[in-house]
Amino acid sequence: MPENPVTPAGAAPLEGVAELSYEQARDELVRVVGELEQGNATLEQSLALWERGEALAARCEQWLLGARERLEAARAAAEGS
Amino acid sequence: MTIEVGPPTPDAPWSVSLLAGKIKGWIDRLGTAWVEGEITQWSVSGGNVYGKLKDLEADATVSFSIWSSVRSKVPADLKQGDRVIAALKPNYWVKGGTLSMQVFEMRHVGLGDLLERLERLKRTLAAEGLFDPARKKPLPFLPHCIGLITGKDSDAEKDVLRNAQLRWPQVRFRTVHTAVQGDRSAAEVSAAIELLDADPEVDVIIVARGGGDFQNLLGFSDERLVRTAAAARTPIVSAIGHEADRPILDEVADLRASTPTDAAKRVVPDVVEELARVQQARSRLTLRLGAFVRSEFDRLQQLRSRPALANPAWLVDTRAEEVARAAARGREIVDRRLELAAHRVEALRSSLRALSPQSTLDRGYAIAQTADGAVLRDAAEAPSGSALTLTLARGAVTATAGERAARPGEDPASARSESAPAGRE
Repeated sequence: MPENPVTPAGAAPLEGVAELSYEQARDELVRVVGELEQGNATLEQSLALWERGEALAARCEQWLLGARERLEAARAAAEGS
Repeated sequence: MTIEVGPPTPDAPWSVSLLAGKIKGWIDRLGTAWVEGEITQWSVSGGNVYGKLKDLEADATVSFSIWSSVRSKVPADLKQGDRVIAALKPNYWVKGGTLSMQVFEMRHVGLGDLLERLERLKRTLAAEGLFDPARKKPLPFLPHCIGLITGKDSDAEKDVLRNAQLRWPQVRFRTVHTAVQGDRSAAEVSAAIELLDADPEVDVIIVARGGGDFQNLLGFSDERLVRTAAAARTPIVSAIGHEADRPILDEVADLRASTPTDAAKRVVPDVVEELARVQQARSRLTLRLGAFVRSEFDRLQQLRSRPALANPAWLVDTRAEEVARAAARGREIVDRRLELAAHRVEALRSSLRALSPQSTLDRGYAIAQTADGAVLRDAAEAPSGSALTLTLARGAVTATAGERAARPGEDPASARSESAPAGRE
C-alpha cells in the first residue's frame, strides 16, 4: 500500500478515507495535525486539512469501536460457552 | 560293544539291562559337544556339582554333573542364572536309568562376549538404517487406545496405568501381559507387538518393564523383537528398566521413555493442565487485545484533543487576527499619510496664498489677459478691438481694447510711442 500523501487542498478532503486501514488513517491523522500546527498552509488548504482530519479521526474511532464490540462479543461468547 | 540279540517283541522281550546297555551304546557314540545355555539350577553335594542347563530361547533343559576332579578347572563363581558355554558328554547311568551330561569344561559367556555380540547386532541394524531418526513416528497427541505390553501385575503396569489415569481419567488401555524376562520374553513381546499393531484402535504401544539386571533385559535386545518393533506401523514407546538401561529396543522405538511412569507422562497429555493452559491462553489473548484497543483509543483522544483539531476556530481566528492587524496597520498608514498630505496641502496653500495675486487684486488691481491667455503688460500688445479678459478681485469680465490712453500721471505722448520702455512697473 503506497503511503497516502496528505490530500492536496484542491481534492475533496474526504476522498478515500473510508478505504483506509486503521493504521493508515491514524498515521495520516498525525500528519494532518502536524501540518495544521505548522500553519504554513493557505487558509483554503487549512480548512480542507481540518475537514480531512475530522474525517480521519471519525474513521479511526469507527475501527476502534468495531474492535471493542467484537471483543465484547467474543468475551460474552466465551463466558456463555 | 553291542550284543547281537533278536528284536524285542512281546514274546522275546529284552532285559532292562540289555535295553539300558543299548541306550548307553548309542549315547556314548555322541561324544563331547560344546553347548551354550543358561544355568537354571546349581547345587553342590559331596564336592560334585549337579545342575540344570537351559536353552537360551527354546524350551529345552538338560541336567549336568561336574565331578569334583573337573570342578577345579571350572570358574569358581559359576551360579544359577549365568549364561555359559560348556563341553558336555552325554552319559547314561545304567544303574539309575537316568541320562546326565558330564561336564568337562565350562566357561562364562562373559558379559564381554554378550556385549560384543550386542554391539555387532546394533551395528548391523544401524547399517540397515533401522535407527534413523527420520523413521521415528510422532506420537498422537491424544491417543484413543494405548497398547500396553508388560508383565502381569508388575510395578511397571501399575505405574503406567496409574499415571495415565491421573492425567486423563478417560484414557483407554489394551494390555497384553507377557514374560518380561528370560528366554520367552522376546518371543512373547514380539507377538504382543504384532497383535496390538494390527488393532486399528490402538494408536500407540508402550513396552514397559521395571528395572532388572543386564541379563534380565537381554530379551529386549533380541534381534527378532527389535525387527518386529521396527516394522510396526503404530508408534512404539520403549520404557525398559531404569534411566541407565538402553536395550536395542530403545534405539528402534519411536520414543524412549526413561521409566514406565515417564512413558505414561509422555504418551498421555495432562488434560487438566492442557485445559488450564487453553483457558490461560484465551484470557491472555483477550487481555492483550483489550489493552491494545484501549491504548489506541487513548492515542486517538490525545490526537483529537490537540488544538489543531479540537477548536478549528483558531485556524480562522489566527488569520482573522492577522487580517485585522493588517487592516489596522493599513488604516494607520493611510491616516498618517492623509495627515501628512493635509499638512503639505496646508503648507502649499499658504505658500500659494502668499504667491497668489489675489491680495493684489483685493487692493483693486486687475489682471488683463489677451485672447491667448498671455498677461497684457504693454498697451502696444493690445491694439484696439482685441479681446481681453480682465480678472478682478472677484470674478472676471471680457473686454475689447479701445484707444490707447495715458495712465494717470503719465505724459500722453510717451503713451503713444511704439517702443514701450522695458521694465515699467
